[in-house]
Amino acid sequence: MNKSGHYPNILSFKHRELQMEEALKVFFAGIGGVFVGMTLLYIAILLIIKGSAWSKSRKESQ
Amino acid sequence: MDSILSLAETSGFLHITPGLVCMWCIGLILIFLAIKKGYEPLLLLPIGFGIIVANLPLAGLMTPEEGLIWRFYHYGIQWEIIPPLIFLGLGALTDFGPLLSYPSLIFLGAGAQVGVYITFFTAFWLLGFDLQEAATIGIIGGADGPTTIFLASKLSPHLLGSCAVAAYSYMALVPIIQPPVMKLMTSKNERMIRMKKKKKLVGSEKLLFPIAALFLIILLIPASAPLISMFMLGNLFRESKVVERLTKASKNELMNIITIFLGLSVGATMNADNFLKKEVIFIFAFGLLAFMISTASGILLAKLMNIFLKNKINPLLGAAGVSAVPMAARVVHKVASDEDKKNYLLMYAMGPNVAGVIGTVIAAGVFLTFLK
Repeated sequence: MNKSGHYPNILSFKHRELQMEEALKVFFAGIGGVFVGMTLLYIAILLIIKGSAWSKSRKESQ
Repeated sequence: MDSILSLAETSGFLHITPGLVCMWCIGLILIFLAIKKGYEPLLLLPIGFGIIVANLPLAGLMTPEEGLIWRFYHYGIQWEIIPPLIFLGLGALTDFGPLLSYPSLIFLGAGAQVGVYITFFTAFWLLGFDLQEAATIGIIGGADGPTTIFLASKLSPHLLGSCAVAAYSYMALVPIIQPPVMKLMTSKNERMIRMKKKKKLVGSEKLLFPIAALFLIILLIPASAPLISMFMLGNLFRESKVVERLTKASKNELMNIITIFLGLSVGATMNADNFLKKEVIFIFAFGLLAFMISTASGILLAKLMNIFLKNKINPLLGAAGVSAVPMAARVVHKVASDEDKKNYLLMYAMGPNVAGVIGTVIAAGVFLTFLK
């Protein structure tokens, strides 16, 4: 159903096909984007933990 | 006599329609659920009230440029002010400690977003919603009210009211919706897995995380900036421990005030013309589907991770990857403790739960990037 409340007719089939390509693009980009984002955050957390531990041990050794 | 007749004509009584009465009933049901059943009362009560007052004939509260609630809606939601301010408060309320103590659980916050995209694609493909509408319906699966409102206001303002009510209703129904899916997707032995002890934090991690996350997420998905920047600012207030007044204001006074305007505005967008339609039933059905698929996909990812991890994680934690904080984490703990009373999963489940908030914002950012 489109915004004007009508179901798309057969004339809009080509348009729908193009939209399908767009939908698939968004689908894969979305899932990929979320996992890439979380992987970056995961790496950042590991670096932060390592950095904090190193900083603490350095302070203690001084 | 004439003056009495003209008074009658200008009163609302002569303009009552069955559609308006139906909307009053929906508003009253939401108010009843909020007061008597305690379902998300902070939001469902003002939303229910907003529905009623917006559907009073001739009241004109939602008349563009003139109506009182229209101004709340226009300057608060259309101008993108209210959802980011809610995120400021959420940031001030969020403790990233459980996530930082068990970093691998962050992926579960991503796993739960798979449901958002599956529902998006299904709503587009099977029901013929356009891409923007399908995205707005899909994001309900993230179980994050402010993000749903933020995305709906940008992509499909005509669906804002129904999607917001669906999102908040399902958030309130987490203890009913999630457990059957969790039990279906896991064996008893899996539910009894106990987690290995968490790493101890030495101090500055909680302070550094919001700054690092701010850079990484906004650089990756710039469209997520309004929500993520406010979320991380609120969290920085909290973790810096030097702006106690701002932290308290963000999570208490500001959050409470904003919630009033948010609820009223969202409720008032639901008028009889755009709510009493067949497509609203699909929105509620697909919102529920999105939420269930998100729960299942989080659990499946946890099981997949267990193939590679030496120290197995309890797959129930995957269900906490939806961002209904802290309800989803509590439900995970409850389902696990039903099998083994000494299995305390609550603090572990808070990790994927807050990761789910970030995941849903990233998912919304991707939709905005491609579809706005």
